Amino acid sequence: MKRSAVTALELFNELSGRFEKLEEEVKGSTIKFIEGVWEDFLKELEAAFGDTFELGLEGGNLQETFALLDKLVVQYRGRLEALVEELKRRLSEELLKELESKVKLALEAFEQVLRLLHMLYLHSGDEWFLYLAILLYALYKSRYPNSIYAIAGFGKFLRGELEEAFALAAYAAREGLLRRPPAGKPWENPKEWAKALELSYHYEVGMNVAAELVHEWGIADALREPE
Amino acid sequence: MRSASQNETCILLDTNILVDFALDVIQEQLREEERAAADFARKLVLLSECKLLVPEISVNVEFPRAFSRAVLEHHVTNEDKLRACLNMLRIHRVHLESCRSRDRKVLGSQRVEDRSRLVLQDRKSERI
Repeated sequence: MKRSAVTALELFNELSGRFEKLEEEVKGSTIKFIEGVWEDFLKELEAAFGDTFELGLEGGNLQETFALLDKLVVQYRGRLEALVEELKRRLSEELLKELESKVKLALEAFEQVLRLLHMLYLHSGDEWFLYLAILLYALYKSRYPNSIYAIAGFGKFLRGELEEAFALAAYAAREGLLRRPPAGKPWENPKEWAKALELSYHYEVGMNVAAELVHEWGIADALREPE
Repeated sequence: MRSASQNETCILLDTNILVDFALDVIQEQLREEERAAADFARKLVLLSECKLLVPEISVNVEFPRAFSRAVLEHHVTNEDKLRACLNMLRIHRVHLESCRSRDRKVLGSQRVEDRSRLVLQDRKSERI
């Protein structure tokens, strides 16, 4: 993932002094935004394919969720594509605009959304920002039809089922992950699938944000100096 | 880093590797050796399937001390920056805790330096 135009330092300096207020506003409005997207997704599913899928995605264990999604992809591949692409657009472009309005900054690329969320995580220590960034990273990495698994991951995330959310998202992004996913199915080993996604994220996004700040603040030079 | 024999062996992370892990791999101002060391450490901790031995003293004492000293020496007093630094330290430890292994078979630190040198040589030969 290329380094985006606005540096981590520039972003940090812009937000400095208003982090706490932003963290509260961004978290509140983003939860509502994602809940809205998820509800719309379930309604569209029900309208298009009946309530079996809608109910199945709301309940059920991870294996059942995968079985449902596999069935959707196989049986309704063509009809599903427009819905999935629209949801992906909402969770990237619309979410970017939503965040822009909160932080009062132009976010030129989706990568900057990830960097912003990671910065809010670094400042607040609230892992909610990190978890959202990781799910969005997986959505960004995935292509249709795999994106639907990442979208289903958001549903699990809203219900606090984090390991399942990450396992779904990891499966969606598996072809683009830098850390090789484990052998076996995601429902057999969700922890290891989740770990593959998290570590790939930290390698491509998280560590870049932290390391850039460490360098720009001069801490990196001091770290290298012998005592 | 994906051969079967490497999956069975461990690599010992000393404090120098923990420092390299915290540093930048992209900054153009850094020397080539520094970027290679940082990239090697990052790949080792986050992407490799090697088992990692992480000494408690390095994670809980030496690296936090080095990091804290660096923060103080550079007079980082801004509250937002301090909070970010504290969380970076915590996250650094979380990464290492999640990757560490309890296996006792150790790859000596000399082999780690040799591998770091190999990565640097590979990078140079790629450009040639």
